[in-house]
Amino acid sequence: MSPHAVHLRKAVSSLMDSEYAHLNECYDNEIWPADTMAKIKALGVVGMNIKGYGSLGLTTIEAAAIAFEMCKRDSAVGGFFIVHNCISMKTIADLGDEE
Amino acid sequence: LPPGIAMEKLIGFGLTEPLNGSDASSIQTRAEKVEGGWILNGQKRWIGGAVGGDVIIWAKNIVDQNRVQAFYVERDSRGFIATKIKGKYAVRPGINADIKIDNVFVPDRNKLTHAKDFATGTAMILGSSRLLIAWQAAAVATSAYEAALAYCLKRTQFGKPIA
Repeated sequence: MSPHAVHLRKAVSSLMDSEYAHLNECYDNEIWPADTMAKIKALGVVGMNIKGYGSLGLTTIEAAAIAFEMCKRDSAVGGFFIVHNCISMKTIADLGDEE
Repeated sequence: LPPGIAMEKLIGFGLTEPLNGSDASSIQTRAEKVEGGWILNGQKRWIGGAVGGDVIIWAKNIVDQNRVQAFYVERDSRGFIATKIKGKYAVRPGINADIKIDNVFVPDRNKLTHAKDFATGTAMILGSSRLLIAWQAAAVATSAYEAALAYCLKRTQFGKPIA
């Protein structure tokens, strides 16, 4: 992993630790933690392994290690992040065209 | 992609249906060609991020030998209704949706050009995504192990720690 990806992984891990009590409350009450997602976005990890278009262009391992830190504290947050970035946007990147 | 990376748009992956989960190549959602675009009909279930987001809908193209192809459906499209599934046992905060697709019009530009069939389109994406999903499962297992370990190390019975 690149030094920047290692830094991002640690930043995500630290954020998820600080959000843990709030995430558990959201879990109990079936509430989407939009505020936590905004904090994750602010860390600059959105895009993950998409290449170009302002994305970080992480390797698969780097993206997976960051997703691991999210999923460890909340599988819903991490799972959504994987779907949005590494499945849905990857579908557009790989199977769409410039138009 | 830029609005997705800015998270101005959330994007779901609409493959699973009420009657087709692992048997995804047999999905029943259909796409029919009309002037300027496509009309989609069908249902999807368990679609993550689909309440309040746009969704890539996989459908059988009836004018191309029922091949499974991909259509980008914007959330405010008429006939597109995504309802949050409540009362889940796990992944409870997740916004998985039941989706009804009733004569939804998708413009030509929103059809993903290179999604030509299930094997080279859908399966290719599923293949690469499995790596990430495996890490998700490993993370949950790691978290459960660490929680159990922490508990065992502080729990005492018969006057002494159990571990």
